[in-house]
Amino acid sequence: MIRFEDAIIKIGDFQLAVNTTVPKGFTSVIGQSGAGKSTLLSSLSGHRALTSGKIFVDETRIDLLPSNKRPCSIIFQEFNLFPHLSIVQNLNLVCGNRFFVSESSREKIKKVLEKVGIVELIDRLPSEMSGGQQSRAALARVLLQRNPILLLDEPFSALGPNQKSELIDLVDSLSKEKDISVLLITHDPKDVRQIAGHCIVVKDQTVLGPFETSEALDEDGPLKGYL
Amino acid sequence: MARSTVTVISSMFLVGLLLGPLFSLINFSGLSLSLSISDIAAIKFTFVQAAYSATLSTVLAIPVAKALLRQKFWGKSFVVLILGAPFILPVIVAVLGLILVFGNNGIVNNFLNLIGLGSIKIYGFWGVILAHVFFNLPLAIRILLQAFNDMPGEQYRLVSSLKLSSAQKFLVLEWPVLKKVCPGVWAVIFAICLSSFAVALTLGGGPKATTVELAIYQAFFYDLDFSKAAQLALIQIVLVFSVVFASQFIAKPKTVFGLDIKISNQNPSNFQKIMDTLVIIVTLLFIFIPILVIFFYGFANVFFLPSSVFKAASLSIQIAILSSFVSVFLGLCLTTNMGEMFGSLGIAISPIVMGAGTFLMLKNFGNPYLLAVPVTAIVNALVSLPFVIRILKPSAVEIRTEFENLSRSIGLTGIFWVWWVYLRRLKRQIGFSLGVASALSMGDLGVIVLFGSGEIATLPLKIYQLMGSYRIDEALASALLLSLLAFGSFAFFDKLGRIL
Repeated sequence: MIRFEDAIIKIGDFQLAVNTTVPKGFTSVIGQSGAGKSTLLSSLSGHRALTSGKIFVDETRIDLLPSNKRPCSIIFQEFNLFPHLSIVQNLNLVCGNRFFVSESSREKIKKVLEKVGIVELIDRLPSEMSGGQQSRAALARVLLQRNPILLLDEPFSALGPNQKSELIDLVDSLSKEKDISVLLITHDPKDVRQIAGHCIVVKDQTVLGPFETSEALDEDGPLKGYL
Repeated sequence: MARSTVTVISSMFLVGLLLGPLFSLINFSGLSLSLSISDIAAIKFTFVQAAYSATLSTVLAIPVAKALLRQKFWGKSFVVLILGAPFILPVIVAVLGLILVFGNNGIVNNFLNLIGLGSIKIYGFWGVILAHVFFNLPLAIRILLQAFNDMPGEQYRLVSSLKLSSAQKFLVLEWPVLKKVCPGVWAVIFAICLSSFAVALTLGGGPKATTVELAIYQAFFYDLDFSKAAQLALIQIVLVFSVVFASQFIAKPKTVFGLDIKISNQNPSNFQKIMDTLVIIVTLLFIFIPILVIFFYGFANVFFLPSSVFKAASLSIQIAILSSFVSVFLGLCLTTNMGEMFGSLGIAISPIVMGAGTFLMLKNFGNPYLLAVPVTAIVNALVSLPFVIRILKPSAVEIRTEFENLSRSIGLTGIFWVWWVYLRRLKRQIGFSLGVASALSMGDLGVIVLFGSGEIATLPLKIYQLMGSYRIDEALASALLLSLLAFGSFAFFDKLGRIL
């Protein structure tokens, strides 16, 4: 459970006020471009500091921790893999020995790549893979990080509808299997429909919700005018 | 360690390296200033030759850059690329080449005598200017060409559709670019020529053609007047700092390392085509004949050089390797705005000034000549540092911007980040920087003239000594060897950065 307590994030003239509790499971974050969805996730991942307020994960305060000490993994819109490193080298960066890929690390990496369905691409460079395969590799790294929260900042927005849908399903099943809470940013209501979880809405510089997905998508729900 | 901490530590180290010699100069100068007539003449000559060199280089570069912009021909990119060659050509080699072309028995004077015209003199004021134009004209051409090239093609199309006269076209298209870029080009060349030592040493000298740098050397080496040398060194620092400070108010031209030549939409007339071709050919002859004659005359004797030349070459290689690695290591630590500011101090404090200060500082502790090699390597590293930072910084900033979020999110910091991201993403630029720094060090004839001796001589110093003892054939062959080493080391490191 993630709890924002009187959190304010200011960037120039823009201000986002957050006072909400995100339940465990899959939660989509929806709102128009520029509403502050990425800002919300950045504050949670530690890439942007709160101006005031607190963030708790379960009962532990995390907003004062540096980003790499927070219990969150994040996949961005772009630059999720280092293009000059092979997939095994990219994934090894979150394993124990960081100067070279040991045999045990390689085995560990193989296992997670099997889970995301790209084990045969272990020695490829990202440039030798499709966008969907790159997203799967980034997901594999998340599994290695073993953090209880996964933040997805529109990582599949450049993919075609089928690939995107497959990947959302994959994230959903992996998160259930590994007991990972997921926050997925999207501005596409179809993505929200695909997930039977919760939904929070970023609108008018505030964060509304969480709502049951069906409630949010209701004609008179908080997404009225957006759908 | 955080990036800012690395920059601060490296900057402090750099300032320490520069402050030690500076304090010893202040100490030796006795905080007094007694300038003789010859000192004042040296200051005046320094300014006048720098102004002439900068003005001629800038003005001559304009028609060449315009010709290169207008004309399409096979190998154009290669021509523009090799215009960068004089930047890493050792000064002593260029001077020898210029003497072979413009000297008393050179190609040009032989031709002038043949047709009954008087001869031109390469030694003295005009020789210094000629050498400076030789080095700086290509730089000015490349900067201006880049500026013209950055103009949107639509502007050319618009102007040609308006059927404007040549004068109107010049006012609308070219004048705004020239007005913006030329002052910066002039200031850069003026600052470079202000610290001219090797050219003045070989082609200048005497009461009418002595720069402040040369006067420092003479006070140091011939008069053994360390107090005078220290005073002149402080004057040189003040001169260069004033110019660098003043140039901050002038728009800086872009440093041109890469080449991104776009073809503009121009339709030159036949007359213009002929004139442009002539301009390009004359410029290429001016720049490359002195280099080619070195290869031509030097080749015959290169296999019969005395062992002392190879010993000097070996020392030059060792110093170049050490200096280039020190320079690139410091450059990698200083790829921030603050780092660039501190790293550029090497331009303001010239090798001779740094060398003089270091010599005087070390004199208090023992025999400075024993430290000739490390001092030369470090001073050479500091001299090439501003160029190294300019090569590394844009890509380093881009890497930090692109991968900062990803690196932070997976906790990839410190030495692991440097190993997996910084060094690997920068390997091409690191190779190129090592190449530039090693070539510059290989050809340097600066601090080694203060610290060198009969026993310890780099190849440029050896060539200078051979020229002084009129062993011109050996000097030419050594110059060929030096050119091959300078260009070879550049090509080797540049290639290494590409294939690793």
